[in-house]
Amino acid sequence: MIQRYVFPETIEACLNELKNCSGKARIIAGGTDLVLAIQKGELNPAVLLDISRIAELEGIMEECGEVRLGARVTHAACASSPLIQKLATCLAEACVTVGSRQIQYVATLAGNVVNAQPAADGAVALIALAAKAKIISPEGEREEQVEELYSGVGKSRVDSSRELLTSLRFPSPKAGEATAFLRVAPRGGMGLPVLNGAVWVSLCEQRVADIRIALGPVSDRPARPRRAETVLKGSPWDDSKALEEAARVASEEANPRDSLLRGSAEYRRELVRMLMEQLLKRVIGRARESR
Amino acid sequence: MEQLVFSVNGETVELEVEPYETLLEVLREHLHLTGVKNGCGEGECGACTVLLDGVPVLSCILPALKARGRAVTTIEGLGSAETLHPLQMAFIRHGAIQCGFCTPGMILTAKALLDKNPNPDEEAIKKYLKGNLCRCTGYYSIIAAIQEAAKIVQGEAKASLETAVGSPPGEGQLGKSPLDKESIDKAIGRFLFSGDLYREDMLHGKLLLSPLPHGEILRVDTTLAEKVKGVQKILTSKDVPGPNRYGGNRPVFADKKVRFVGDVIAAVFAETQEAAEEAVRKIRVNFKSLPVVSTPMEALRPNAPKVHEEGNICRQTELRFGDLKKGFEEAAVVVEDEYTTPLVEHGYLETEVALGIFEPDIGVTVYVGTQAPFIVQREIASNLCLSEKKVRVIGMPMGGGFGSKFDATIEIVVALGAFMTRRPVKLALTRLESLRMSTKRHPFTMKYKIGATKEGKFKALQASLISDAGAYSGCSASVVEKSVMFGGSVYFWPAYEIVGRGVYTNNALGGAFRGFGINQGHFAIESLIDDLARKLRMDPFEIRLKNALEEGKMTITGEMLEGSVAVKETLIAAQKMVDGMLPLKPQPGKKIGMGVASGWKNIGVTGLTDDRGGAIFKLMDNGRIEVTISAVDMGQGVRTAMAQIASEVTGIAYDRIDIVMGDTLHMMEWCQGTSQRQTTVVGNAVLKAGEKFKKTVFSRASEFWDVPQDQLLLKDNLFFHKQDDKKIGSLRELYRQVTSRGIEILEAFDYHAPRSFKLHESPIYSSRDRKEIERKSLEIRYRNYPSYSFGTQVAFAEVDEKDGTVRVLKMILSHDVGKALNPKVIKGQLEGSALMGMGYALTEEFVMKDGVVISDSLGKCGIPRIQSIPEQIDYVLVEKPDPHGPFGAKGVAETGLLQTAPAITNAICDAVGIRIRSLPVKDQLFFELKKAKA
Repeated sequence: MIQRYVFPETIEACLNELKNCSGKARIIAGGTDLVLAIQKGELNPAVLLDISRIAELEGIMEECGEVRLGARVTHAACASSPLIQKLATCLAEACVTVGSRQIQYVATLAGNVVNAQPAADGAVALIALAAKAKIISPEGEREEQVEELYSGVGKSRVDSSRELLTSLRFPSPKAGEATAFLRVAPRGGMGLPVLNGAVWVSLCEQRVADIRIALGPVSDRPARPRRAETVLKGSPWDDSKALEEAARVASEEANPRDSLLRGSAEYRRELVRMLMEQLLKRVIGRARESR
Repeated sequence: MEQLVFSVNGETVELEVEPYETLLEVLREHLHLTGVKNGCGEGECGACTVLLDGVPVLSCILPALKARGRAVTTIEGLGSAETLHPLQMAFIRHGAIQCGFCTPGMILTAKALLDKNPNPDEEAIKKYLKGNLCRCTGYYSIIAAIQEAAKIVQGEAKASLETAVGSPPGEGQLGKSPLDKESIDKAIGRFLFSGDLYREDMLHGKLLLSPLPHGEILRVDTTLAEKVKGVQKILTSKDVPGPNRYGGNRPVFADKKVRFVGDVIAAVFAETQEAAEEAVRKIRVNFKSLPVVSTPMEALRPNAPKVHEEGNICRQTELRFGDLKKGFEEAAVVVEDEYTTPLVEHGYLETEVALGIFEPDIGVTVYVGTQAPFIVQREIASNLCLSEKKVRVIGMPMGGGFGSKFDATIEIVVALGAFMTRRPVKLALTRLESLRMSTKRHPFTMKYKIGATKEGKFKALQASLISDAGAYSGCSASVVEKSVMFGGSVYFWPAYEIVGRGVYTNNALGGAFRGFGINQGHFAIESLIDDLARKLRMDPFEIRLKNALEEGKMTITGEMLEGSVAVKETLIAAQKMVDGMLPLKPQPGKKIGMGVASGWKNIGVTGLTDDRGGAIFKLMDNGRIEVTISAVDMGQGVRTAMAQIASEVTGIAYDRIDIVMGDTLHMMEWCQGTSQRQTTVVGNAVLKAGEKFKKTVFSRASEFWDVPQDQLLLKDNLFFHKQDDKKIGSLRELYRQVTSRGIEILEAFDYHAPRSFKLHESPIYSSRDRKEIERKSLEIRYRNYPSYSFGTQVAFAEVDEKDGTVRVLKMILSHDVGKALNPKVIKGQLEGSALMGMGYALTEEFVMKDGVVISDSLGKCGIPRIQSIPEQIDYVLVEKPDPHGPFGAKGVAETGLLQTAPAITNAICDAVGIRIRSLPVKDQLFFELKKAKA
């Protein structure tokens, strides 16, 4: 049962609380998932440390060729940020599809990562952007790829009872680079996503120089169909055969389960192919324009 | 406890809250701002939306302390009755408010949108409101209201409460859409549902539901639970003095066995909600788990586990006539197929909540949003072993019911809790508990075969329908019967055989749901008729017109139809509108098709030998008229329609009439909000009582002012002299005068609907000769219902050939209403029904597996949101007066979604040639299209 609800004013104060509570406290950001998990008895913290008023965790900024998001940044802030719309299109697109508008105003990107759902739109976009997360604990500081933070459905390697994800950062795009996000969801976007995907691509001399694809929910965590990426790497940007092949390979790599709510595995696997075709076309088109 | 200081609607509030409390709890429970609604408690419906520093947030999943130092705006702070916000006005004007439960959240979300984007287009509105569910309106009126409010805010439109829905010109209230009786209260958050009622000293209840779909109860141990501080009473089956049964064979508390995950094992009543919940967690139950019967097919196997001792068949109904073999032989074309339909959640936003009050020396009173107060009264009385007059049920307005709140769920437990503790007790189901306990639409598996001549004349019909009743009988027997009676849709059949069976399983309960067993069979037969027309290369309207029922024809139950049968009229009216919807140009890779379907629905209850209801008119001290009607308020506008009738017959202004209903102590029997009966039964009672009341008022006025009755004129609330238009006096003065003489002006009328017969009383069961059956039927005036309503719908659907996605682009709703009493209310009901029908066709399913609920939240039931509405829905009302309806009117509560699903699947077939046999469509087309390509 929660005994205390604290608003630490600084990161330091927050870390002190974490330390003093030795695992009994838990970080709360927007709380849109956490509150339900606590009500269902899945989590049982004694203290909630609300980070939504720590000034150091605010802000969307670009510096030194990188975009940085503080842990307080909400989906709504991201979606409406001209900076994000310009520098991380896929993230802006993902943030506006998440849940309802009410959720977007409260839920944070950092929370989306720590909550570790394989379907999380924001996290899928961040993975395509090769985002890194800075995590601070009383013992020290580390930085990890967002992609590496998963250890299962709903299981994060960030332990919110002992450490704090303070910021996310990813490289700003250069000429010839672009990103895109797409989601397939029944009934107008509020249901469980059947499928979502984000792609980052870099073009050079009319070829695909590099590409990163992130997909959810087709595994116990957001997936990276690396073979599909390999298919496209080095191929001419207008090679529709390669594009179709990459989409096909991605659908082979995807491992969705049969779901009574989201649809059969076979259906969702086919959707992966179609979604990838559409996404790859869109992202390559954008990258060509950005040169 | 933590300190919370924040601003609420402009005032600083300071209070102590628990660190785990949500903003919703603090606003509702501590501050009694009950305009904030709790729809799902999981952030999926938007009913709890409030503004936090101007931004919409879901108060049900927001820790209250997040509001510390910030400003919260609830609906109560947006505008009062005198100072309505433009959004509140526009919502009222456009009929964007029906039951009113989603309204506060909807209006506040829209407010935030307008603050950000003063002139939102339709797309922007849909995007911003995608998290707000509405199950009544179909969203069209909401979008129109928001767009108009934007104009008012910008000074481009005038603020007004006058209806935005067109009405014919002329005097009187009928056919108009006056200001709805309760819409202002709903728009400002002042309207009370049962969940909004509080008593200072009330106890809070919590139920222990069965964790198993099927099992034997070996032991229930409440020892630990009783020790929890604050626990006052724990009830189990042994505490029920009466038979411990309701709704047929459903136990109040499971005794020997549990048969589904909605069975109640125990109830705890405690000083706080937390204590009740903790105690429930500490009840220990030992079960012997039993094999789960998860489909009717399994249940029908010879060695199937028995859900009930008596066996797994809940009801079998058969109807046959004519030479079936010959019929099919004479048919040039015969089509047959198997169809299935899913279990569907009603999806009302208000979960079941009841407040029970112990009445010393009298008995017990229960406040609850129910469709059937008198039935609940009987069931409480029998289980508590009290006489019925010691039990008072006050039917509160419902935040959506759609049939499910016909069956009792928690009322008996609450009554027993209040009675045993001698305290007020309140019990509110969480969304998940509601999903588990409440009834659903029955899933059906159907085999249908029909044949026709090459001219398209129907010759024979054979059908077998199996429905999943779930664990207990409830309405299932009646649903089976109705599915058979309406199994031939709106056509004349010379030879037929329909067999219907309801089967027990360990699934959720089947119950009443808009259409009551008709929708399923209509999906099958209207699809087959479409196939037949295709084979015969006939127009879908033509084949239906050729076989449509009409006055003087015999239904398959042996009823000789009289009164207003309007199948043909609705078909012709719909057909006329088709051209206006065309041309529709498909996008590349997509195909568009058109589908037609017709259907019918009874008005009134079958075999309720004496279906009746009353109205009591009373002149009040303030000169207003109070009319107590035998009705319940399901949120679709019965109060308004009845006030219109009362005004029309008495000549007294609509605004001066107050409608009261729902209370078993004051209403005349009988009352249930089912089967579209309220317009007919209650409407007639109001009509007749109003006529009597007017006579009495005139005769008293004549005595008092000494003016001959025929010289009196009543306008608004004033009497005038007919000759010189001179004012004589007011109703208020009349009240004072008669009261001083000890007289009350009060008139009542007890209306009895035309007698209806039970199906088994039909002459069809005693003769094989059509002539003789027709003669007998006419002789006894055999009828199953007082009346019927008819309708035809046309859908235009677009199918993506690549991934099988379906989008309904446009719809035509052509419905027979007898006489349109209130166009705004009818439009709202039809649009809401059509969207519900679209959900039934495409996305809705309450998924269960082996008796376990998979659709364990409102968001997992497939209910349509604002973004999935068709771009256009047009409607046409056919007015063919019903001889039994007040002013010829009929109800339209259920008729609007009988045809929607087959119209849509017929459109899909028209577009891509694929026949959908199983609802919902979901991802089926994807595979079918792939198969077709291969």
